[in-house]
Amino acid sequence: MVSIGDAEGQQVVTIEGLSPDGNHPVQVAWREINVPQCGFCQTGQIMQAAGLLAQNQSPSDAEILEAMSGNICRCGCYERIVAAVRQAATGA
Amino acid sequence: MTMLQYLNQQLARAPMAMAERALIENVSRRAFLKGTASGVGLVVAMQMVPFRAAGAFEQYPTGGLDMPNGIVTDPHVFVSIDPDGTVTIVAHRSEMGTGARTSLPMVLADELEADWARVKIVQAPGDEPKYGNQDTDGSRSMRHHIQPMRQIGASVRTMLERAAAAQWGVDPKLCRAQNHEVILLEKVVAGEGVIESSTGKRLGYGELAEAAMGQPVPAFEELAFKDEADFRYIGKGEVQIYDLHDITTGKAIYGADVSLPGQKYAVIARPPVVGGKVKSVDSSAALAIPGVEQVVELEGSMPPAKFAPLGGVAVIATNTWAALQGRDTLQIEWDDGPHAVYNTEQYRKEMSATAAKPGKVIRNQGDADAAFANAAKVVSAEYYQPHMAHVSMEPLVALANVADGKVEIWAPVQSPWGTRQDVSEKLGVPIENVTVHVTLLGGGFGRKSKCDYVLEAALLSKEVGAPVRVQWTREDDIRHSFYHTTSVERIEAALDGSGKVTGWRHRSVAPSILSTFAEDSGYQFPIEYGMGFADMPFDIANVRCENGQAMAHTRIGWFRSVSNIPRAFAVQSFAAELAHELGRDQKDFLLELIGPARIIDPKAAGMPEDLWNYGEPYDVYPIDTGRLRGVVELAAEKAGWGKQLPEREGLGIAVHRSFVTYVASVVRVKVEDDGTVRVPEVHTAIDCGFCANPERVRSQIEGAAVMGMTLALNSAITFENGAVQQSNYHDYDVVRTGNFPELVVTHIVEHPFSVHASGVGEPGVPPFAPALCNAIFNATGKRVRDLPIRQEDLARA
Repeated sequence: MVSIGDAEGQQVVTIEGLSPDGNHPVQVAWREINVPQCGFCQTGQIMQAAGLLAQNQSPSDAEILEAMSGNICRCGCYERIVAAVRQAATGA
Repeated sequence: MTMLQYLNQQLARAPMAMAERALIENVSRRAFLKGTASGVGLVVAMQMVPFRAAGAFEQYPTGGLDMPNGIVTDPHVFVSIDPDGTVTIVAHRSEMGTGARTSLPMVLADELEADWARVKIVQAPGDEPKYGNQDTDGSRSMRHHIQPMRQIGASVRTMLERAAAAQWGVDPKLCRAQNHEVILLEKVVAGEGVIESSTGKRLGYGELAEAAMGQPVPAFEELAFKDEADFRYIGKGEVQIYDLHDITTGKAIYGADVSLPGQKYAVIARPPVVGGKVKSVDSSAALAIPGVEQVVELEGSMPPAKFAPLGGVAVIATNTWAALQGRDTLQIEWDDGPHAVYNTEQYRKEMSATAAKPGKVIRNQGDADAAFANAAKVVSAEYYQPHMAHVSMEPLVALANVADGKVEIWAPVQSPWGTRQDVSEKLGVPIENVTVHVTLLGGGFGRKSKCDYVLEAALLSKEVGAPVRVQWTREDDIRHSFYHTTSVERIEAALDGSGKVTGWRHRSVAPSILSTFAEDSGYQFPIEYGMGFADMPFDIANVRCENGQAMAHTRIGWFRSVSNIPRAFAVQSFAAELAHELGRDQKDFLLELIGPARIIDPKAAGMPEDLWNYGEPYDVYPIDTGRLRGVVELAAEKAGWGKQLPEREGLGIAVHRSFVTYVASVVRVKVEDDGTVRVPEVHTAIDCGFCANPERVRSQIEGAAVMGMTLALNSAITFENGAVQQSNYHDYDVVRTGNFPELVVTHIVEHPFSVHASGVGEPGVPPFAPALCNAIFNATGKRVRDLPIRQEDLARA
């Protein structure tokens, strides 16, 4: 988590800038696995996952669970979120 | 009938007879029934003769016919076709994550023989006289609308075929709509409808659009329906939710994504205690903050006040941040009013004392007193559940523009027409001058059925003369909800010398949802009695269900699954406790309690005459213990019931019928030495009749396991001197990836269309907590009777 004050002068990527055609591997995996229910938290989930994969191209399951643990989904899509991050990382 | 409709009847103190209500129903609804029992009234229609014809489906009545504004089947209301072939279908139900906005149009498109890739969905504004009932709750969307959607699709398909026939100058029987075009057949074998061959002539839906929509709408009996084997989308689970791409690219529109030029931003300091009032307010510091423009006092309300705002002090600013800062500086002295007496610990003791005494008898079967007097042994247990809040990820938000005698609303609401009615009434603006646009809902779970947040925005827009967005924070959401009730459920069983259960006495004590709508009697009402209490399906000769008085001190409202949560927790935990007492296997004993496969006769079982069956005709959706047994056996088999597990691991089972659907869960638990509860695997069997979208059924069941684990481990809203003590996720936490149900396997009982579709959104939740607690008992020998589970109680000694 980065506070907004610490982001001053830094480049910030939002979901709009993640991929020009919406086909970042995380977004593709999200759609292939039908992750969202209501969808409201999904922007944050996707950015968290993309951030993880930018730093760690092949995270372990434990690392995925840890990285995603701050993002709440009240609909309860966690199982699919974890599967989608795994798929985006491995391409499988 | 909806809960709200029922409540309105209570308020009016003049319940309309079923037959009378039938007479004032809309024309569309009569058209819908025409094919089944024309010439007879609805009361007869409720036991209607099945309509059969080649290619038809067997129509059946649902509670959808009895909902306010009923069912509309006019294709012109729901479908339009552009010359380019784009088929636009109206989604009239709200989308809050169940997939209804996709699944209902998908059913229509399939019956229409439309190519899903060329289908566009538009969201209806709140207008029930036009669209029929739009109240998206009660797990009703598919259950009530699968038949109308098929009828509309078949109507438009027929109109397209007739338009093609007119253009070609041929018998319409030679025209067959198929995958977005109408094909001219060479001939059909008379009476059989077997296709010989195509002429190769074809007309696309776009080419036929204008002529087709000018065709008269066919009567139901003129329609031929697709054979189930020919479904392209229904039952396949391959159509993705319509908003999937938008959701994954940040383009989806939720409540706070709509803005108007010149709009103001408001946050509100609401009274900490329900019914409280502002005694004095000093807003000078707030008004000094750059961006803050006005501070407005809002009139409050004392329950029963339905969805009236709580009142308080609103800070209006040019942006949300300034409004929030302004609110922080308000100096408000509150008059808390009578509900400041509400203290959770004390209240729980009172509920417990009430449950120890006889209450109002709701169900009486056989002679429970004699069974207990003659019992060889009596087992009893008391189960407790605190209040809960919905905490949708999207906090409540609404945008209102009151101008020129008109009101326009954009908001995430489950009941857009109900919202429109309430806004009209609150502002004194005729309903035709009120518009309610429905955005996507970032979760709802019942909270967004109550439009207090929309009324706040409308009142403030009127006051300041500009569009106003009212934004709730998470803290506002947790402290000012319409809470799931809190309850004590006490169950006693009489056992004879052979270990057979001869008597069952269940006392339920919980403040009622009715208190939000009508003068509080302290007693529950049929809808709450019908949720796993009076409808208890066990094969026991002597049963008594009693309701003890509990006065409400906060706003009680419906929450996903409603009273089924505490009832399933109590009944299914107690069944396992009895099994242990008798040295029996949990699953085998549960099946024994359910007894043989049968359709329960509510009268013979001493159930109330007005037994709530989720608004459904009982003969269409009876309590079928065969289906209840079926899901128990399926879940147990798939989970490997009976297998050996490592130390401090266990399986637990629970089953519950709710929203006329049968669900059993087997939860596997691993209890760590420090008492941490982990759930590596869940097997849930669901029998929801015909399943239109198995993929979304699975997602609902997965989500229900997460919500069930949250309510079992984390959820407690408590009150001190009338005020809620929790404020955000640090003290009202929900399950996250650090500890969640890691593998949820959904087993859907497959049925043809003739087994009536039933609820999906809610029925997955109730069995989870008791299955988990039964598993914890098997893993540790410790019985949980109070929710949420306290980790320290489960730590290794």
